[in-house]
Amino acid sequence: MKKKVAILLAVMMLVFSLAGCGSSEETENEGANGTESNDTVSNNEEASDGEENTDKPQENITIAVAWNSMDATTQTRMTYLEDHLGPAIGVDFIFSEEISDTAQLMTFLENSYAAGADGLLSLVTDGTEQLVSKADELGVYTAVVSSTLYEEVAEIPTYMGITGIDLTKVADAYGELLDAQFDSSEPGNFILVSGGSAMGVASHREATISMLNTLQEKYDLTYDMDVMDLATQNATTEINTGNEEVKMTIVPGFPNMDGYVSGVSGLLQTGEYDAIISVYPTAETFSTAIDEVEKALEKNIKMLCQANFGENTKQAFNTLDSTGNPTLDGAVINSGSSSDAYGVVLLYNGIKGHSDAIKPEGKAIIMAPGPLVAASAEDYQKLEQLDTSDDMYVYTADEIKKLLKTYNEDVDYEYLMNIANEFSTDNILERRGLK
Amino acid sequence: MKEKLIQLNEQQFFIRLVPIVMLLLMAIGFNIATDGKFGDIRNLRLIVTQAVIIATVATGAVFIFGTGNVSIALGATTAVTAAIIAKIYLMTESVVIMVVAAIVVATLIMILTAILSTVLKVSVIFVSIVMMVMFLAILQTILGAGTITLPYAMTSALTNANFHYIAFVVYFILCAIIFHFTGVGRSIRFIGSNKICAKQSGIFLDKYLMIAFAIAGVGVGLAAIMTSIRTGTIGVGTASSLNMDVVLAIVLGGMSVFGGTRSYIYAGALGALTVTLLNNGLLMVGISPTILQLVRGIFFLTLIFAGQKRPDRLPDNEI
Amino acid sequence: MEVMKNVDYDQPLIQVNTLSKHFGVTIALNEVSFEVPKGVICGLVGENGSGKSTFASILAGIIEETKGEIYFEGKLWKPSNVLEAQKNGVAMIVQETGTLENVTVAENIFLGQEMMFSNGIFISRKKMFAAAQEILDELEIKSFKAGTPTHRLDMQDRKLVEIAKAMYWKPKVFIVDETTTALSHTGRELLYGLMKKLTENGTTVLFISHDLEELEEQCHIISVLRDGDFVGTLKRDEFDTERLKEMMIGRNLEGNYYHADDEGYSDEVVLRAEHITTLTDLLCFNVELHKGEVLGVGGLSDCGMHTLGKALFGAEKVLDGEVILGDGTVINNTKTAVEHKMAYMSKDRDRESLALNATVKENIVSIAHKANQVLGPIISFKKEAEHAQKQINDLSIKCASEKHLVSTLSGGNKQKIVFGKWIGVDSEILIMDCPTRGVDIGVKAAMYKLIYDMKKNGKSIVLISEELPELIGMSDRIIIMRDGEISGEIKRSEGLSEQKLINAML
Repeated sequence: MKKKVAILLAVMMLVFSLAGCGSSEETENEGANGTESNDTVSNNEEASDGEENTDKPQENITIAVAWNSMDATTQTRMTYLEDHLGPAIGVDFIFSEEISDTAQLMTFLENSYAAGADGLLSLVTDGTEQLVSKADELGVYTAVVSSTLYEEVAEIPTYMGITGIDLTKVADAYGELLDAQFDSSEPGNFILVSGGSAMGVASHREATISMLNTLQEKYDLTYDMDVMDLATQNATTEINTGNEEVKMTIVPGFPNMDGYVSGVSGLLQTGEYDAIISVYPTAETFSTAIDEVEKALEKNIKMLCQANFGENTKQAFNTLDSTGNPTLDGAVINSGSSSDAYGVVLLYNGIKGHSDAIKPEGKAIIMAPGPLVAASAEDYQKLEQLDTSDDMYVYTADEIKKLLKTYNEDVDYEYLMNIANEFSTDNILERRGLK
Repeated sequence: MKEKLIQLNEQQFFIRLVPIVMLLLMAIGFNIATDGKFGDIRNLRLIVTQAVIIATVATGAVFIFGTGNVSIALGATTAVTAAIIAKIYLMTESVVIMVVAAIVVATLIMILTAILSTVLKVSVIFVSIVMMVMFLAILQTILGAGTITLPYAMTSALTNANFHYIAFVVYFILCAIIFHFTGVGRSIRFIGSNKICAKQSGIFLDKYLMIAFAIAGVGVGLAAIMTSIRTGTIGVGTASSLNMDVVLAIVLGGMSVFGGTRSYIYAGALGALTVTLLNNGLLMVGISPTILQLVRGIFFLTLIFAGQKRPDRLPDNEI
Repeated sequence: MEVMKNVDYDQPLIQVNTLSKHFGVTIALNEVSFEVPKGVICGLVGENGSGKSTFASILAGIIEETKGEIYFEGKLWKPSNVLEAQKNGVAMIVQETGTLENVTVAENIFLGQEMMFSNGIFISRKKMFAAAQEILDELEIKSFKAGTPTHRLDMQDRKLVEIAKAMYWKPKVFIVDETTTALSHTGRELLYGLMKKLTENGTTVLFISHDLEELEEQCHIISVLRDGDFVGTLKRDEFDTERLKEMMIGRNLEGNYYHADDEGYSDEVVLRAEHITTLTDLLCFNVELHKGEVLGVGGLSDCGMHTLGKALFGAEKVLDGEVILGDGTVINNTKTAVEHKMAYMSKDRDRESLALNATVKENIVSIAHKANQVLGPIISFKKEAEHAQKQINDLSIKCASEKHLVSTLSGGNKQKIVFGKWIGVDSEILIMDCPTRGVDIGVKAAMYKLIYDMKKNGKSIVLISEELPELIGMSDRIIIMRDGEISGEIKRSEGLSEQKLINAML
């Protein structure tokens, strides 16, 4: 009996200590912003029936972010939002854990809503229709870091748009990368990691199709299936290339699936493959497996994949493997933090009541940064500072502020599109003074 | 003497109250910590919606646990059932067929598990481990690296018709009646208390195990439907954490995993509520996702330690 | 029994001073004070609930007293656990199982003490086995060796292992808590011999038993407890069965213990075993049970009678032959048996006949579901409670309420619950295996009356028992088994005597 009472007290203490913990976190944010109240504002009316205050301190809004992975890159992006952007433009963030299925996404949406979120930025590309529809019911604005708009739900008022990689430019980017790394006179064998192509992730699919097309042209290959079908294979498949000297195997899926890494490892260990080309960041995922094989067979295996700006990509390009080559040989850089920033821009404008200004036909828009190509380690050297410190972000808080109508009257659909179109390696280097 | 009697009764009552008290304490605590946001009626409704799926499976699982057996294939069974009925729906476009199919498929799979256990004379828990691995493999084969998507119109229609709540309430009532008001329920619990004594009392173990699994199967079928219409997509990750959540729910709800006559049907639902409430509350309070798992773990350990009445003697069953 | 040597009554080995033990509401020992001298076999007797087992447990270090003190050899005795008590001279063997099945005899003997044989990292099994074998040889135990796996031994041999384990520490006090009921004739003789030897060396034996005859034969003194109070001690020359009974119960036990009638039974055969063969014990066995008959089944412990009981009930697989009811139904599983109003009470009461962590009510109604239904399959709580209460009242089951867990009750009351379970559903054929094992006199008498009443009401009973007086007193007909066969059959009317029975057994 005494024991039970003691434990009851312990539980109560635990919960109330969280009470203290919770409110102190909030006060921290307040302090940084200099705003007085912390009550959330989850409506459009209040903001729009007012003066356009560009300099007066605004009330904070809350944006929830649904992450689809929790690794070093995610950390960089979280820091960017929470420590750099958030305080400057008056946004509080609620971060999720790693979300792997739609059920968790929905739960996160609901819980965030209850916690006072005004908008939700989702990096989870599954279940967009469900997400967006449900969010609308709750009155939460949404933006998705995805390359598929989903026409069926495009007219939902609170659905602001997508900010994933610009689909139209993905194919070229991968084409450029492959052309830089491979010569048609030197055939080789490739593992193509197609990620979520079979699951409907448009950017992955585009990338895979591009890889298949580029290689087909380069080595004069004949496929026995339509390129679209090949790209969306949902199981590991060796493809018929019609050329004995070129072998290609497509591996769909992600590391969280059973047997995934060991499957690729198995393929590498046959010693037959010369390169892995992948649609999402895999520099770290396969590094051990590649390293083993390189040491054992004393041959270099090239790793070309998608990457984000930040410390780990810099590391990957600069670290040499046992054959004296960089671990990461070339990358298509999707600036994750840019996608995030664009997403915040869309949400912020929507929440503050400026939907009409930026959604010309009342439909969700596409504000997509293009992919950048770093065809070699030298190429990346110029870019390696990006996203590693406050003044080196691809988009600084001040630059983002200019994209918010609340602070800049000129903001409208075209304004935003121009910004997105300007996005290129040169543009970034110039803005950051790295040229 | 009478006073002492009352004292004794109160003590047993007190033990059953603990999980409920814990739940209320947490709710109050979180409410204070979030300046009342937690206690908002909309948030509370959300918690209930999120808890319903776990509560449904857990209520059915109480039958299995009541016999002193443990199955860890519940999540996988739900996922496979969901995949199958999704495909059936896409073929037939009939909601009624989908619902019926869900219950039938899930129940059959569960009965199969029970049959394997009794025929091969292998403990239920081991059979369930094998089934779980098999189902995940089947699931991956059906889906590959892809997903099945259901049309939003259908899923939202069912959601708006409150399918979740109605299904759960009806199922819960039926289960409660069977578990606490019929000979079947009593026999099932008695098996958990002492298998050998049950056998010598003429209680046919195999039959009741199958009944328990069949009843649980209905719950799994309903949960498969609920999961499908909640998310609209079915992938390899579907219902991946369901089994753990169900076991946790049952334990937090105050029931022992050894089963026996001290089992109560509401344990599953109560525990499901506790788990969901905890997750919701922790998010609202703003715990950083990196230490969220740790905090959650500490909470669960404390709750279990406080709530469970550990038996003074080891169970008479062999695993 | 030889004449007792001079016992030094002035220097008691154990002195108990206003010792009390409370279990929550229950007062098991109520300020008990008495003394036990050195070098005697001291019998400790009392009804169930008298506190004798509680006292033994406190002495052996299993539980702690609530108030009062025990002085051992003049010093305060407060061991923190059983191991410490053992090392300091008090060892105990009990009624229920005290060994682990899946290790060897030697490992059981040295359970918890294995480090004695280690050389730092490894444990020398050879040394352990040798030490264990030494003890077995000293005790003249021949039926098994130190290296025998315990699961191969029967219940009696396992008891011997426990005795060996207790003997290792050369105890100054050896407590035997109702152990003899688990032993056969040979085993008991061994134990008595051991006890004598111990007292010759100055060790005191505390002998707890229900068997007054046994106590009177073996003990130097007998102390009596009743309802947690100390009643008195009788010295050997004062021993008198009636006097002891009176001290134990506090009232006169009237009338016939068993039953004196010779009413016989009908000719109608209600249950028949035809050439049944089981996995162990029985080969082409035949027996018949008649309506209104009490059929006694006796024999040495391993004669197969326990298996017979199970086989008749359908709880033991019958490989060949059949068990058939009077109406032709074949009994090959317990469900059919129960459906046809058969009942079975196992010798291993705690493990097989009861669910210890369920309540009294739940146990009693566990087979009465059909009877308590009201609306289709729905059971009425009220009917159920009445059903249980009736049995509790009729059988005078001592419990605070029917919501009490069975594990908290004494042996006699537990057995009453088992009775109540089967009586409650009007069982017609009852197979009882050692029903009065570990039950005290007052309750025993009640049970005998109950059995007799059932016989008079036309129920048929198979009474399997290891207690000859019980068989003689209660049965209309006794069959003695030896090595899986019937070696003797004696009818009541012919005049039963123990000698005849023992002859048939051996």
